[in-house]
Amino acid sequence: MKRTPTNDQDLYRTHNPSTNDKIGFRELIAIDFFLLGVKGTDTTVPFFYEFAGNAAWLMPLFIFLFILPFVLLVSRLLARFEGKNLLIISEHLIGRPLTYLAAWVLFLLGMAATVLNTRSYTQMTGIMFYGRTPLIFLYAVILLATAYVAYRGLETIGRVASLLLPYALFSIVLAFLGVYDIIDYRAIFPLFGQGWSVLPKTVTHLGFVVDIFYFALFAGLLKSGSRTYQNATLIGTAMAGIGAMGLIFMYTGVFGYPAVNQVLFHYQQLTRIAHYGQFINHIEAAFLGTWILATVVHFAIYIYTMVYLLHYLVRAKDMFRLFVPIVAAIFFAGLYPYRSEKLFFTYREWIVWALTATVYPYLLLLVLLSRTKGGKKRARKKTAYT
Amino acid sequence: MLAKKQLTLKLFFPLLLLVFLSGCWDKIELEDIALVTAIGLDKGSIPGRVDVTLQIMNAQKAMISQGNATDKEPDHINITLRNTTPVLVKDQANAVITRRINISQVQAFLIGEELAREEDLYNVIAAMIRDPEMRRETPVIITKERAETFIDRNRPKFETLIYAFYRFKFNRWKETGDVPLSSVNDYLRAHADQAPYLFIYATTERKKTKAKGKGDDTTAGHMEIEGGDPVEMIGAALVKEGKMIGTLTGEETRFALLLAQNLRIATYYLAFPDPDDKPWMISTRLKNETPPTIEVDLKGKRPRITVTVPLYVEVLSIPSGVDYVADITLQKKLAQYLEQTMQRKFADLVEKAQHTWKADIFNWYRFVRSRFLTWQAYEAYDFPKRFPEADVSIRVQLQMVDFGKQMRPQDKLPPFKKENR
Repeated sequence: MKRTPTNDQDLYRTHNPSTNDKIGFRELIAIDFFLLGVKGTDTTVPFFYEFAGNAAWLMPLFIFLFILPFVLLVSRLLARFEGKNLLIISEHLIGRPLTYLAAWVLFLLGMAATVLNTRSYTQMTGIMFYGRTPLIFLYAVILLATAYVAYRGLETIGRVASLLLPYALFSIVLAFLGVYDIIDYRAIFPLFGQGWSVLPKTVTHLGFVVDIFYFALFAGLLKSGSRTYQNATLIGTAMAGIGAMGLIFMYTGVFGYPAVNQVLFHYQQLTRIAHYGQFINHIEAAFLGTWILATVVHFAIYIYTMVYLLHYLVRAKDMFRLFVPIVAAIFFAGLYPYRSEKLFFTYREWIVWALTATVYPYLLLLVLLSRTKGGKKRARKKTAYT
Repeated sequence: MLAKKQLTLKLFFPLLLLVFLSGCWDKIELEDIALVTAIGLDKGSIPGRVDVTLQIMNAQKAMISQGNATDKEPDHINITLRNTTPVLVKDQANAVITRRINISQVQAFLIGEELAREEDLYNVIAAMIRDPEMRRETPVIITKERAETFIDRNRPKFETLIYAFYRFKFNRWKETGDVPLSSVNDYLRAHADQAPYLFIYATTERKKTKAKGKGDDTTAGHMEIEGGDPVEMIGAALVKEGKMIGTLTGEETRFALLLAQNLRIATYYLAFPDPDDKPWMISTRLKNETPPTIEVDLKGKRPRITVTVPLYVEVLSIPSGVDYVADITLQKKLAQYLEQTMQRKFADLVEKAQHTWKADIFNWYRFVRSRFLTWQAYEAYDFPKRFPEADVSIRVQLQMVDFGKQMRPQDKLPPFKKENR
């Protein structure tokens, strides 16, 4: 007999018997911060510079305005079907076959993105800090650490994230203090950078922040359900956006525009420059510590999401057995040689396009259908924090 | 069952160790590395190649000596590799150096003037910075002679460990502004902005100079100083479009930095001939606590730039004995005189920048930028091209602050003064 995921509580093996296996407001804020804020330190930044020129630091704000209605719509959708996750809602609204199709697309694109990103973070670490360690080995170690955190389950990820959040915020502030004296804030002018041409490019690349909608998959595991989703996502995304804005402002101020276009690994190069007074300098290793932990949390969420999707697709009894194949697949796919950084950016852009083209219409479709097809009307008013 | 579990655990722990030990792949023993303090670059005899000089510090000397075996070793050694590229050097140098070359603690890049004048400096520096070990904030110095010679002769009297020489020297320049603080990062930035850049200018060839009494209004190698360290570091080398095109004197460098709203300079000392009593010099301390305001007007055919420089003056010595302290009219006269002198000096420098060098050494493009809304509009305006014909007016707003910690000059003039005049 095939099991169908109807009740979320069945799906998750209890790892921490003392708790309820749910994550709350604080954890979700931290998770959203690590999903999006870390993107201010990786290969997303060059895209922003390409789109907006010296106004790249305004891009997070711009994107936030774009996804704001989506967050509100999705949380409204979740409120109508309180306690259910996105896939179950989707099955109810568009039927099982179409939901399967959507889940496959989400899974494959998510995998591709995870492969590219893990690989790129490994390369970043390898080139900047571990010159002699083989990339394969570094990749394996980072993936193992990430998979371990992910394997402990959503609650652990949430805890790790919320514990780490103050340190991550502090390290951004610390980086700012370290480069304060060499920032030339005039590099952000002309204020609007590349002008209106940024608009279509932003719309087609909204896939950069699609991660927070992947999190609607775990709506059933949130304390106070959709209210938590909406508020925590908005606050977490805003925090991540402010963090990323601060980071990109620093990159522009320190490296200068257009010179920043030649910089790769902005965050790492920035922390190499950071110094405090005459004698405290060359302390990039201190920043590496926080950053690598943030990276681990970042990818732990990805891997957990991928495992969850695959578990839904193949209807596995125990989703925790799927960790090994997923991590192995990511590892071997990540070994694919790109030969050039340029090609990497091309692939990344394709995936982002595909994510934009599939996830947002899919969500819109669900939201539209939910107005005609059942669910609790005005459910949000009845739900309160418990 | 239990035995099986134990076996699994026994197998698991070595595997766990593997993860933690992985950090050791990149381990470097301090004993195992040769720390490079300065890298010198010179024109090679083959076109496109450079001669690279590495100054390698004897790290063991950094420890407090207790009469051990390193006493007889030199503090640092210099090696020059001819006709190579900066990146290849790390491995090639091991032919004559025992330890692993580490360039992550380099204190300065030294570039010979010959190379700076003839080759594209941008290519040379951009080629170096690609190496992950290199740091972008590393200072860059242009040396009058070959960098190789400079490094060889640079044996400061007090600093046994050569890195301290660069450290302290740059720290001092932050306050005086006689020398611009040039770094790789700032140069790459200026180059991308199509702006000229001022590099530190230094030499070990100290000559007797013909022009007397110039103070810091001279370039490196021409100061009237005897003794001290072999290196004379003053003024700036001007690099435009990747090539060095001229030098600025110490005073010009100060003014250029001041007019560029470069806040790193807080106070500096200047001496003026006494307007009332010519042969004596009045020593003043000028403070630019508030940066100059730079107004840019792009409406007309030519860009108009108005710079207002507020300066706070402390008069520190009045050897002529004219009583500026108490007499208000004399004070006004002095202020007016200082104002005019400063204004003329600024105007001379602007004239030189606009017509001799045709380079925006004041970085005023940074202020032009904020006048535009989009990058395209800014690029279309093409300020670097328009700078030489810009209408620049500089006003000095001078404010007497105090007269040091003495009340008034000598109440009675010493008798020899009036007679010997």
